[in-house]
Amino acid sequence: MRADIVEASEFPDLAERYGVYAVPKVVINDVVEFVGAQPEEVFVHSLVQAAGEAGSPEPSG
Amino acid sequence: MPFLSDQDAAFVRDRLAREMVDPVTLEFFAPTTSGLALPTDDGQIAEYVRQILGEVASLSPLVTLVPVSTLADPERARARGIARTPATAILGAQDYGLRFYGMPAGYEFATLLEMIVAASRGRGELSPSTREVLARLRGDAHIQVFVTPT
Repeated sequence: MRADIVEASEFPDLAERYGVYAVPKVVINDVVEFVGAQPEEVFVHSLVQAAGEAGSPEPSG
Repeated sequence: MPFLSDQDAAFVRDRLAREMVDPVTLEFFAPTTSGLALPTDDGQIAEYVRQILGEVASLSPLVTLVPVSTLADPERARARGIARTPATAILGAQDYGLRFYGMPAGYEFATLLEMIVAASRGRGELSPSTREVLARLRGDAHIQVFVTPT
């Protein structure tokens, strides 16, 4: 697992690629994203969506 | 002129002394790390970042700053998965995958402190149920958090 903090204004190409119009914006594996502070459960659910969970079907996409 | 006021420096020194466990290395990646900024905005920003990290390192015996020139040592940047600069890898007893891209100033200075403390303690503040789910993740996860200093 890797966690990058990216200062959006210094990396405008990344901000544009991921459509960053409000911060904080979280992008996981380029496929799941959300904006703003979220409860831990939401974060975990997003991680499962993005990375898949052992014993469950393969994540689509 | 330092980035941190005397009052802020005292706060950082106290927090790191109270909360750190393992030593932390801040590997700072920029094209040049000599203290001579390239004549571009990017070089100027990188020099600011290096100064901020240096001030933090001076406030705790457990924090070490290691500047790495991506021109002189591109292999090291590749090994850390760093393709853009300025970038900082926050390394504890092991590399937990924590990276900060850009300048940790303004509100984001607090983020840098959190990352240092987390790397030093080797664990965050996640609940047991979250840990269970994370342990079952099938694939790798690359989390990018976009922030601004204001």
